[in-house]
Amino acid sequence: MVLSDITRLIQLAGLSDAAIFDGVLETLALALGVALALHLLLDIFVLRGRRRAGELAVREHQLAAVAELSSALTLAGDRESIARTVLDTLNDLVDFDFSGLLLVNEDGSEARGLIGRAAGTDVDWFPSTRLDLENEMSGVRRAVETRALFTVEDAPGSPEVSAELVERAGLKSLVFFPLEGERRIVGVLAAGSTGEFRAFRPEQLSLMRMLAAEGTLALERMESVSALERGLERERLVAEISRRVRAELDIDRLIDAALAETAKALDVERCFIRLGNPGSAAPLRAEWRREGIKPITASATPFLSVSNLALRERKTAAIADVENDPQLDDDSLGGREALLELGSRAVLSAPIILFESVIGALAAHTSALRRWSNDDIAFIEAIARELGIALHTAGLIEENKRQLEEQNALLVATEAMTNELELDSVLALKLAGGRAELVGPSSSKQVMKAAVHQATQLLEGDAALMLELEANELVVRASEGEGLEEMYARRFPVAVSLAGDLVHSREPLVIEDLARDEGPLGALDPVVGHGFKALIGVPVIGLDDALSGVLIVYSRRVRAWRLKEIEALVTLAANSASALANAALYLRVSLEREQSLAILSSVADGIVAVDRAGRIVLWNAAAERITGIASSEALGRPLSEVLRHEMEAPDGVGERAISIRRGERELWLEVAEAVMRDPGGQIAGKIYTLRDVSADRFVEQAKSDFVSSISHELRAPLTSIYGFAETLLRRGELFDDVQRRTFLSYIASESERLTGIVDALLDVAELDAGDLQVELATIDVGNVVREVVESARSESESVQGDEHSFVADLSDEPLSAEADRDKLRRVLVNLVDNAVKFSPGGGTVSVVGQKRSGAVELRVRDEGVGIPEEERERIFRKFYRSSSALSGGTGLGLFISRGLVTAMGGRIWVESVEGEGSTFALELPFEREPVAEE
Amino acid sequence: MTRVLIIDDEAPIRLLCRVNLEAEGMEVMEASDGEKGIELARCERPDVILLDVMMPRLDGWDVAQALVGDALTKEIPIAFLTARAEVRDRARGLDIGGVEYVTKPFNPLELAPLIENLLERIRRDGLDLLRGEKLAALRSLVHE
Repeated sequence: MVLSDITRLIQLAGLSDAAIFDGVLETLALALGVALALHLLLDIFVLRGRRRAGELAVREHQLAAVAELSSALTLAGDRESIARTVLDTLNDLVDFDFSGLLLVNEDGSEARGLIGRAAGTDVDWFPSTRLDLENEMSGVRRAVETRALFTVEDAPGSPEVSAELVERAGLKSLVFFPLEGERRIVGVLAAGSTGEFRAFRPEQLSLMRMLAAEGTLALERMESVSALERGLERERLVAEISRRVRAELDIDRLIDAALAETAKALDVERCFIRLGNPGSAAPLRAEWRREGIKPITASATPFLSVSNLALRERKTAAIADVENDPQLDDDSLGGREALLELGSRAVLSAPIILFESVIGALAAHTSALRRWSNDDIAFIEAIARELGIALHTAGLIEENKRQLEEQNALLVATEAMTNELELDSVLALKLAGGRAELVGPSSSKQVMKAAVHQATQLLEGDAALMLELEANELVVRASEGEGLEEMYARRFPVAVSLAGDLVHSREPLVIEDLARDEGPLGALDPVVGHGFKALIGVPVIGLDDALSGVLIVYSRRVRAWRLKEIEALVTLAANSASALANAALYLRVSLEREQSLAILSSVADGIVAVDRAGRIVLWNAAAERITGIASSEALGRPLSEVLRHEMEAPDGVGERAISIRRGERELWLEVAEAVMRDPGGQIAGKIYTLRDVSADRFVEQAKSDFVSSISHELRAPLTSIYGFAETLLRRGELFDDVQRRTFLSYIASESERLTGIVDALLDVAELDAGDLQVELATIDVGNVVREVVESARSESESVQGDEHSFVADLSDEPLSAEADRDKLRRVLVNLVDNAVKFSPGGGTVSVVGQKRSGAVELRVRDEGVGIPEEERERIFRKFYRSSSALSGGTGLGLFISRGLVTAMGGRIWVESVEGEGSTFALELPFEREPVAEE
Repeated sequence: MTRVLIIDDEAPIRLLCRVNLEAEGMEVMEASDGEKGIELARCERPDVILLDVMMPRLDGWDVAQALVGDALTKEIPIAFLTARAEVRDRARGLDIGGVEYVTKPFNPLELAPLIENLLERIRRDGLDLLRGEKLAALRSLVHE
């Protein structure tokens, strides 16, 4: 700025005249030096917003106003308010009628009106002002180009200023002042007067300069703050995608997420990834679209010219205007129609580069014209880089053959070799053409087949063999050429063949004429034989310097091999070695991957891995099954948040049980954890195993409930037995015979009750073990019913206040059935006891016996509380006690009853109306199925 | 004469208590369920109540709560007499306001001395202090 100012001053003063210039050169140089230094100092102070009182032309109150402006700008929240403050101060101090601030875009091609001020209000048309700084002449353009202020006294008459601006603002005289930022001109101040033509005084211009400097500082700070914020946000996004790249096993999911995030960050309608070599069709791998945007069709993909450009040029293509950008003029890129058809007006595309090779492109489309910023470009490149790594990783586990070729191709540093060897161009071309074929296949068998084929083509030989070294033998693994097909898998001792020499020497073996060079023995060599006259053999040596085999090309005629040909074959062998190593590596890695994945998905335990930050990176199928939480839901979140349970082991205990909620129910998990370390020994995360132990817990709980209720059941009769025994043992003759008999009868009946409980326990044990024995006989079921009812009635009568009545409703004829009398009795006693127990208000307990076809049906009915619908099946389960149970009980009665009835070949069920009573029905077979004995 | 109310749904247990307490010169009243027990307690105001827990309809916990919450009966000491032997049941009984907790089976000969001892201590220290002591003892048991 300073220099250009001074240069212009010199020109204005006519000092550019060579003669004068010569004469005063020294003086001038000195003066210039001082002026320059002064000016620089001044600039520095002004730019830093500090002023010196010695600023000559500025009056004090103006300085105060500038200082005020400076502090006001510190508080300004956006560019518009900065502009208003600067412009109003300008109008006020310099006495302008109009002033406006125009912002210059990044590449200096356009200026746009930001804010115009006149008489303290915004000038409404000003923000729509657009000035083309490349093709149109204007004062703004001049200020930008010269980086210096530019004054026009007669604006309407000047061809150098924008007529539009002058006309609309009605300006007579104008000043343009560039806002010079750190890197570029960020804007231009345009100010003028409407009243009369005027020249501006130096102190006014000086003042303007100061205001411009203040405005520039504020604008730049604003820009850098927002850029910083945007940059940070994008940085975070890249980091997040980078984290997923290293954690996500599912490449498709990763790509989808990356595309969506990229689209969001760039605020575009479409974001997609294409995979393929430059020049290939590079099909669409995945696409993210905003709602309502039509998808890219397969047929349109090859014509996506911007991504084609990125692929071809290996660098990011940023197209602001698809319709007019000359970069798309080259029709071989695919033209503009496809993009315009898709509604894409601006496109940004970055190549995905891996190991120096382009493997695809990432692109963003938007329907509005858009000049892509450096930030946008840096961002899309960062994402493309991460995706490259992700694809590389995924290439190892995906069955994507084409992708694998890419990856293999990358691992082979063939570019370098080709250059070094300076082969004949034909040889080089052939080598290069064959390389893709060679490195493409994924199995070692395919690699070797490709190698012999290429070797033959390369040297225009008649045949070729690839032999693999195994211990002390060479084994033919691939052959090319007539007569060698049957050589496959044949073995030759290293010690006694020409091919074996290669193994020892590790140098190319070149024979121009077998008969001459090796004598008759040469032609007899089993590997050579077959009427060949010349050969070149080279060792296949891998990167680890280990010899894996030999590659030999044969000719049927005597042939003087050229040095270039030998070198070409050596290169091919090296390529093959790399491809072979790669194939082996691929095989191993993919096997390991597959094994790990197979193990992880097949284990019954939930396996969860978290990264260093505690976020879940692995959530296997069992973890999904156990917790009911899908892996998509769990990945990327902290484990404690997903399980809603603190996962830090208390006191560093490795294994523990925790309870979490799964919907309505409680889930008990046994959790074990281990620390994962990376190869460097650093903690890389943790692995947790989750085992569902809810069922075990339930059994434990049931057992503990059982022990508690059984002990209670046993205590009741024991209390009477023990108590009456102690009572009888009291000293002194306190009780009469009747009392003694009562006590003793209680001891007897309670002992019986105790026996009953023990029997029930034994029954359960037998039922559980599956060896409950029943002794079936044809019995009159009616008799058993009568006995049980009678016994219940007499017991009831002995209890004071018991209001139950008992009825046995049986037909007169005997009810014969196949049953075990004793077991049936136990069942009926249990059912009648229950009937009494669950009808606390009294009522009738009836037992009805009837013949049915082929069976006898017994129904025990009460008028009690009934059984809720949802409990009617559960009451037959072991230990289950009805919610309406009024007092204790083992929870075994109905379980045993069902077991006994089933063992007798019958069935038992319940019918009930809540609040009205229950009926337990059982059916016993009428007679045993006749056994065919003839 | 010490007057004892026994509330238990099992006839043999009531008889067992009756004969042994009467043998020691106490007067015994019986109730075969909770409702009758509360009614009797309100009418008769016995010196002590022996209360079973597992009973149909109103169980012992409900009965104790009703008695403690009733101005007429809240001063009558309650001794639980139950087959529920777990510490948590004991805690519950004492928490509700019982002053003694006897687990079945028990020696009926020790019943009368236990009641006499209880009444003696209540006369000396008051019901509240006794309850407090029992609770403290229980807490130390639970925390061990």
